[in-house]
Amino acid sequence: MPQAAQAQVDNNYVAFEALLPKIIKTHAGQFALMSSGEIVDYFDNSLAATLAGARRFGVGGFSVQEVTDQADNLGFYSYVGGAGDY
Amino acid sequence: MLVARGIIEQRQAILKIGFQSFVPETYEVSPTQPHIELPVQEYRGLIDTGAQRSCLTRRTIAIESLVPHAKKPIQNVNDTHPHRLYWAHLGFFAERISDDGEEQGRTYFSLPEPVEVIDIANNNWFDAIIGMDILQRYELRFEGDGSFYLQLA
Repeated sequence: MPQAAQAQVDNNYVAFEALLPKIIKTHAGQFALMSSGEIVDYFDNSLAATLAGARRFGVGGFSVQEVTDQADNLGFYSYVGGAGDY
Repeated sequence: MLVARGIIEQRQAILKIGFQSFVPETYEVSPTQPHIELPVQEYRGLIDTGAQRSCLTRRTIAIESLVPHAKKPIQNVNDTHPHRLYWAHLGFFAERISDDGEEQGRTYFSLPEPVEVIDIANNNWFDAIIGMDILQRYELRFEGDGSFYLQLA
């Protein structure tokens, strides 16, 4: 399950990055529910999108992407470079 | 009142916390605390007011068998990298304190809603970062003697 969920999240993220320049004009601040590389709906918060995704696709069958071009900052851990990457 | 006490170790504020997996299929929006399966494993949380979000090390995520639901760019000193996000029920090992300051017992306080956490690299000092997404809800007080507490209720 975690591997399949990771693949779903990673593949959707790649698709989301390509879609972001277009959708940020109309959906900034919302949360896109994605499955198999496509956006299927938008929600006002991440939890609502997650619950809807779990009902519709099951856990591991969807992902949620915030429509933003801003990165988060992890403070101390960010600045020592300890967050790590993939 | 209900407080979670922590200590300063090597000038880092460390608090005992617990995590449980979040199962969206069974989640209902409710003012009551979520169902808690005891015992809850104890982890070390770093209090970090500079972190916008709370985080879990990848080792902790694997232990708790959390499933990712999102990915987000995270900024570090050199660059920006995408990290996976997970839902989890976070809680604190806390003490009940009477009005005259007497300890009235210990309990486990679980936050009423799941928390969206970011995965970070493993390290030897802590298992989680407690960021401002959680800290902003409570009173945090340093006592000046190497201890601190988070007032939960």
